Amino acid sequence: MFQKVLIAEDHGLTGSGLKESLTGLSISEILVVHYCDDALLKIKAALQQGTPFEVLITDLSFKVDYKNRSLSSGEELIAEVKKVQPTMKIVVYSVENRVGKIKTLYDDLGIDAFVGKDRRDINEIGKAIKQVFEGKTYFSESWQHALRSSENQLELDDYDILLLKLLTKGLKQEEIAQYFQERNYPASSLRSIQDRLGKLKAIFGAKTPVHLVAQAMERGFI
Amino acid sequence: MNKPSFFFLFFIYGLIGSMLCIAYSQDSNDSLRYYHNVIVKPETSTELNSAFLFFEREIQKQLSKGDTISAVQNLRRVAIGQYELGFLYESEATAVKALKLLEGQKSNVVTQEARSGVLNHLGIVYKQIKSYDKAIYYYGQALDLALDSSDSIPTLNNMSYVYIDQNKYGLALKTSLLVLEKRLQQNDSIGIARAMDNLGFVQSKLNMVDALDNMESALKIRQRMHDIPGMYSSHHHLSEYFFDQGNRQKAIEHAELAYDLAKQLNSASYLENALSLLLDLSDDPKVIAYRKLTDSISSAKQIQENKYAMVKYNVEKERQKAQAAELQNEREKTYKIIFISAFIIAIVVGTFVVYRKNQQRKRELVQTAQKTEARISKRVHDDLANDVSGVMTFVENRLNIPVKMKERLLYFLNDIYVRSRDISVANAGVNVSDFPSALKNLIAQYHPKGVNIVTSPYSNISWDKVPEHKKIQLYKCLQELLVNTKKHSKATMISIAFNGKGRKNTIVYSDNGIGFDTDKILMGGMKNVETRMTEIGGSFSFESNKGKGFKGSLLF
Repeated sequence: MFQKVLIAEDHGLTGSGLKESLTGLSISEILVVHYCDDALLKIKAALQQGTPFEVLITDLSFKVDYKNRSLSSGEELIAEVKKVQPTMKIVVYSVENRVGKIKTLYDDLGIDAFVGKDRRDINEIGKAIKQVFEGKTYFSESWQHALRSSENQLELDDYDILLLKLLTKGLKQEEIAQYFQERNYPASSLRSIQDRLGKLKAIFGAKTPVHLVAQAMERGFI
Repeated sequence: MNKPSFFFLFFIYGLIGSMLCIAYSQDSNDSLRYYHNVIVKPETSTELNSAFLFFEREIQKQLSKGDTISAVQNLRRVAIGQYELGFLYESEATAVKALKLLEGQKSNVVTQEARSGVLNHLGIVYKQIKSYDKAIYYYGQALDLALDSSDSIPTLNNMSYVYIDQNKYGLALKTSLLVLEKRLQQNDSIGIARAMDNLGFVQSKLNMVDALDNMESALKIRQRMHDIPGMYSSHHHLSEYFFDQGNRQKAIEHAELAYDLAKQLNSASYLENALSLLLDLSDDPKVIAYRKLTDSISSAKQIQENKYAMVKYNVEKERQKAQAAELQNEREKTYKIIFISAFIIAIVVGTFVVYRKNQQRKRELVQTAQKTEARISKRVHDDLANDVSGVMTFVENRLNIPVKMKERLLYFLNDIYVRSRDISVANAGVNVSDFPSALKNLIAQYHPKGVNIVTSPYSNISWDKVPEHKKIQLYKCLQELLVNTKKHSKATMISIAFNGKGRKNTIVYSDNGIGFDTDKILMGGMKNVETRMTEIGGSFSFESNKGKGFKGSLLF
C-alpha cells in the first residue's frame, strides 16, 4: 500500500473524516493541509528529502480568506504538482458533479480517481485508493454511465440526413444508392444504404421507411 | 468737335490705374500685376480676354472666401476692361455690383477710395453713353467721397469735360479753375501745366483773353519738363484755338507739330488723333464733306450701338433673372429633398439607435442574471454543499448514536447535500467556447440509463455567429428540458435536432415519454424556458399530451 498520502482539504470536518476513512488501509503517513500552496510546499519538501508523497487527495474548491494565495483551486494545484512530480497519483474528492468538468479532470489533468462527496461516494474512497495503488484509473460507479454517455450519444451525420430527405422524395433504396454513387459519397453501395437505413429505423423506433420519415419529420430532423 | 475726350480720358485712367496699384501693392501675385496692366493699359496688350477670365475667377474665389474688398478691386478692373472694349452696359453692371458689395462694408480709407473710384467710373460710362446728367451726378458723389486733392482732381476734370461736351463752358471754367488751384497747391509742374492747358482751352471756347496765355504757358512748362504727351495735348488745343480764331495757318502749324510728336510717341491712337486733326483743318471740300459724313455716321452708329447694347443688356438681365429663378426653384427642390431625406434618415437612425440600445440593455440584463446565477451557485457549491458533506463525514465517523437514527440522519443530510449540489450544477457558469462539446456534456449529465439520445449534426447551426449570452440561455433551456425528461417522462429515446437557415435557428427537442398535461406542475419549467428564450429575442413552443411524448421547439 501507499506509504505517504497528502490530503488537501480546507474543510476541517471533511479532512479529518477522510483521514479516518483511510485508517484501515495501513498507510503509514497521512498529512492533512488546508491550503493549496501548503500542499505544493509539502510535496516539494518531501521530494527534496527523498521521501516523496505518493498520493494527493485534493478538493477542487477552496474558500477565499484573508491569506494571499497563489494557488486558489484544486485544478491549479494538480497542474503544478504534475510539473513537480509527474508520477504523483491524484485523487479528486469534490462536490463537483458536472460530467463535463469531471471528464476534463481525467482527460486534461490526468487524474487517477474522482470521488464525489455524497454519502454513497464517500464510502468509495478506500476502494478508489486501492484501485489507484494497483495502477488503475478509478471511476465512481455513479459516474461510469455519465462519463460514457457522450459515446452513447448518437450524432447523425449529413449523409443520414440526406438519406432521410431522399426518402421523403419517394426514392427507393436502389435509387438512393445510385444517387450516392453518382456523387461519390462514401458508403454508397446498396448494402451500405440498407445498413444506414436499418440503423436509422432502429434509432427512431420505426418499422418501415415511411414510418421512419414520419418520425424524423416529427422530430424536426428534416 | 468731339476730339478732346482723348486727352481727358487718357489721364483719367492713368490715375485710376495708379489708385488700384496702391490697392494691390501688398499683393505679390505676379499674374494679378500682369493682368492689371493688361486692363489699365489695353493698347499694350491683346490679352484682355484672358485678363477677364483671370479676374472673374479671382472674384469668385474672393467672394467665396469673404474677401469683399479684393473682389471689389477686381470688379473695378473688369469694369474698366469692359469699358475699353465698348461694353458700356456690362461695365455699368459690373460697377454697380462693386458698389453694392461696398454697401455692406465698414467705411474706411480703402472702402472710401474704392467707392469713390467706382462712382467716378460710372460717371465715365454715363458720359460715354451721353447720359450727361447721370454722369455729373455720379462725379458729384465721387467728389464727396474724395479723400484729398489728388483724388478729386481727375473727377473734377471729368466733370469739366462733361460740361464741355454739353457746351456748358461756364461750368467747365469753374471746375477747371478749381483744378488749377488744387494743382498749384500740389506744386506738381506737369499737373499744373495740364490744368493750365485745360483751363486755357475752356477759356478759348468762352473767348476769354487769358486763353492763349494759359495755353502757351502750359506748353512752355511741358517743353521744359520734356512732357511729350503733354506737349502734344498743348499743340492740339492750340491748333483748335487758332482754328476757332480763324487763323488756319497757325492751326495747321500746331497740328503738324502735334503730328510730329505723335510720331515720336509712336502710338497709334496719338497718330490717329493727330491725323484726324489735320483732316479737320483741311479746306478740301471733299475732305470736309467726308468728315461731316463720317461724323454723322459715327454718331448714328453710336446711338445704334447704345440702343443695341441697351436691348442686349436688358435681355441679358431677363435671362439672368430667369436663370436665378430657375436656380432658386432647383435649390428649393434640392432643399426639400435634403430635408425629407434628412428627416427619414433621422427617423431610421433614431429607430436603429433605440433598437440597438434596447438590444444591448436586454443583453446586459441577461448577462447580469447569468452572472448572478453563476455567483450564487458557486457560493452554494463551495460553501453549503461542502459544509453538508463535512457534517456527513462527521456523523458517519464520529457520532455515537443508534445505527437506525444515524442512517436516517445521514439520509436527510445527503438529501440536503444533493439538492444544494444540484442547485449549483443547474446555475453554474457555462463554458460555451466549444458549444457542441458543452452540449454533449450537458446531455451526458442528464443522460438517463437505458435511454437512446440522437442528435442531428451540431454543425447545422453556425455556433460562431450565436452570441455567448444566447448560448448560455440555450444551454439552460436544454438543461431544463433534459431534467424534465429524466425526472418525469420515462422516455426511452430523446432526440435533439439542430436546424439553421440563414439567421433563423431552431432546436427541436423531443422525447417519447409519457408526456404531461399542459396544466400540470411541469408548466413551471416550461415557463422558465419560455422566459429565457424571450429574453434573448427568441421564442419557445411545445406540445405534450399525456401518453404522447413531448416536443419543444426553441427558435432564435
